[in-house]
Amino acid sequence: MLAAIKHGDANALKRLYQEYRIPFIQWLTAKYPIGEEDAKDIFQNVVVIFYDQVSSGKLTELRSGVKTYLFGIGKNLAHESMRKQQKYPEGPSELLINHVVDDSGYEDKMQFEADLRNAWRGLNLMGDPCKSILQLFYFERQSMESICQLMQYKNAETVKQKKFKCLKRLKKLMLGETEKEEKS
Amino acid sequence: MTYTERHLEQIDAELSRTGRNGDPPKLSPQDSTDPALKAAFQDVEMVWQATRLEKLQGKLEMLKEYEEEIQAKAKAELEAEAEEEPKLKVVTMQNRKWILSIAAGVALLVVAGWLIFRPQEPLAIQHAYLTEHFDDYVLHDVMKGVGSSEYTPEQLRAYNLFAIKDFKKAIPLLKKEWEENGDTLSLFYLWVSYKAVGNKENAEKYQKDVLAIKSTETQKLVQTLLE
Repeated sequence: MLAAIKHGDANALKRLYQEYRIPFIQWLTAKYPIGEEDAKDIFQNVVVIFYDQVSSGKLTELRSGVKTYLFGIGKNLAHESMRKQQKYPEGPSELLINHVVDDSGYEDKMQFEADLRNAWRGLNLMGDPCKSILQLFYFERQSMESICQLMQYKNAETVKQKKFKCLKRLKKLMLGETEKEEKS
Repeated sequence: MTYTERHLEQIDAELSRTGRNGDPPKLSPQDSTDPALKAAFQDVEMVWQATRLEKLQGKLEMLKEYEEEIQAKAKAELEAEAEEEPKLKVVTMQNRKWILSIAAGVALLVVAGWLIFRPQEPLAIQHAYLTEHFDDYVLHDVMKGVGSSEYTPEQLRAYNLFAIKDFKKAIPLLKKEWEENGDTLSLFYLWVSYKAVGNKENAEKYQKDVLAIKSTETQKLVQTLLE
């Protein structure tokens, strides 16, 4: 399972989800005052966090088995979910934001969380092609040449210039420009 | 602190040399002393975290869609089962009719089979005189016939079946011996067999031929039965 996720098997997450979905929901709803729909949401976040830990190389082996590990994440998320109200219903999952913030190692977690929300919002406000170029280059570590081929740009230099403009645009959005201002 | 395109190029070059898909960007200790480079790196790192969050959110959306698929599939299965239920009743009724038809057919076959292959009672002697004097009508020497060449095996078998009063098996063999080989003893035994079982029609059919047998002893016996 770990190897499949690590190697980008698209169906590995679905298999994992399917296998532990019912036992997790039954366990969580029995243990906490959480409804079935919320339990499903939490489990979806659990699986994505598990994916993040495996694909980032932070989790390379399991001593206690996948189920125990997933349920362990689930326990933390359940506490988090009960403590925190969903402030941004249209934004990304609060549980995922918490995971990224906790994992970042930043001392000023509140500032980091605010910057992260702004960056994420800016990224989605820009949309493609900026979003894809930044994601391909910074997260997936693709070369300018491969992005050029993938997104059918004239040459790698064009991609490089485009990326720089996208980054500047994102920086402005992160600094607080409204969507209206950005579009104008 | 502001930075220029050159600072970003420096970071990009470092990123291109190191790391792979999903790895966070890293700033070398010597680069971190440059405030502009450090500021550029912080923005890059935030972009990385935002793209990471976006990637994870994408996976979450995928799982939410998958959950919907699971729910839709379960719902469709429930609906299909609900729709199939009345059909199942009809099918059940049809099955009952079908099973009843088969059962009736099987019963008919069993009855017919029983009628055809039922163990039949050996044809018992119906004739009062023969009941008492049947042995007088056994003319062949049973002991002599065994292993001798006086009778053919077919004759011997037919005669002996007659001798043990198994008329059902004896009649066709005796008939064959008479009609195909003209064996008069077979004719006599055949006539006696019909007389014994009370088959008057067949007894009369062969009576003329029996009366024509040129044997005094045989004719005495024939006459006794005709009286």
